[in-house]
Amino acid sequence: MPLKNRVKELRAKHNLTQSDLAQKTNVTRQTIAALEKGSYIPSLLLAMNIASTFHLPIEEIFFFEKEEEKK
Amino acid sequence: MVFRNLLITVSFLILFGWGMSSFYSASMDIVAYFQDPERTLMFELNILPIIILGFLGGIVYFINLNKKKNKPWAKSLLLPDEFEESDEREKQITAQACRAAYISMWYSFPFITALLLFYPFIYETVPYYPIFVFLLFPITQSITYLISWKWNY
Repeated sequence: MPLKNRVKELRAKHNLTQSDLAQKTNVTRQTIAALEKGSYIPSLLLAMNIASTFHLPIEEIFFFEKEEEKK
Repeated sequence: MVFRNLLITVSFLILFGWGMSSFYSASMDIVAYFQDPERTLMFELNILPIIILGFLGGIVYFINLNKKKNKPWAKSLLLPDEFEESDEREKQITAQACRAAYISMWYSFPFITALLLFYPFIYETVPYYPIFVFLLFPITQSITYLISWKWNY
């Protein structure tokens, strides 16, 4: 089951660029780009940092594709 | 960046091999000098590859030093560029590249070792042949490492 995320959508909602989010979460811009593309699965630490940046629980940002279909 | 690193790594290894072959020739001269008391010249050494290596090495060293001003000196001087790990994803990429380089060692070593079997046939013309064969190990591993790095980046 591929892991999906709403990072791109939330980033746009919060008016953040990839570089802004990268800076806030202490990673490179390329990592945020790879994460949005779905080619990189973040560590729990990075996922929690992203969740805390958007003030949301992790499961509202990262989810399995199957769950998304149910929604 | 990766292809620049690849070019630099391979060029340095080739220059190093050239330099070592010069030292090998000098060693052979020294052996001949001790075996033949009538010989007046002890040895000849071609220092051109060492000069080029030192010159290029110096340039790369200062470029790296300028690029990594904010990093600890030991990290910027001792770690090659391709070991840059700015975050967790780059650490993962480095780990995958190391794994690929390790696997490449197991595939390449029988072939590279087998190349030494040709040595008796070309000993007269290329006496320093084993130096170049030996350098194929780091060249193969560096190429595999950098290709894997680029592929996963």
